[in-house]
Amino acid sequence: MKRNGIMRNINAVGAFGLGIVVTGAYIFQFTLHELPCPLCLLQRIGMLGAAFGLLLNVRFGLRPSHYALALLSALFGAATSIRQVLLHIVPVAGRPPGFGTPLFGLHMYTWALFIFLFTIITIACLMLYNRQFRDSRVLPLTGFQQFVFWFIIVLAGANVLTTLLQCGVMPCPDNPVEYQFL
Amino acid sequence: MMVLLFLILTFAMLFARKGNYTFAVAGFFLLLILSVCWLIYHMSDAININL
Repeated sequence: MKRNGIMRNINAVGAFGLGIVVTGAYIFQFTLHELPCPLCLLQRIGMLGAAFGLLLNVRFGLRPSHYALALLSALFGAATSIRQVLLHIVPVAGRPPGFGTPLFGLHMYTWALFIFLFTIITIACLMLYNRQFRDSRVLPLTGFQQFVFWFIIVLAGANVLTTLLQCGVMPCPDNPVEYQFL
Repeated sequence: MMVLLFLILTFAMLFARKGNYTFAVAGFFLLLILSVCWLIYHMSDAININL
């Protein structure tokens, strides 16, 4: 029971960490005025989807299927990141290398790939602990878990709003430079 | 189009928060399938092949 409480909190911390990464992307978007491309938005979906899988563990009890959902989402995000890395891996003469401003020498999509790989490895390690699945009772959420839940929901809702302002209901442009509805 | 994906994610989260497991998981799978379709569309469009 107590250990399950710890595991639920570890899941909540993981979801919070993924939410912080998406918040970092928002800081890039608003301070440097770098609008996210379609692949960047798919990476955000991958991160929030992985956080969703972890939050299912927090809300409905610890189950392998919840970890599987988080893993599927992280794998999708990793595939999207790899796609974007490969798109920009060959430098084009006369153009700056990559897409967007690098952070500590690496572009955002490369950082995203590392984060997805870290998420996959961490979830696999968490699943090694079999005892957590013996007690799958649904427990009430603690204050921190409530906060993380609303944090991720608000982030997803904020993405609805900013994506609507940026692209409308049509597919987003590959290299966006301005909001369509601002 | 991308708005739809984030909208589905938001509603799946809200259903999970409310305790509606079926709708939350169904929303998640819908999101995952549509996202994969979008990624395949993006790749096929860029390299100019017809799927």
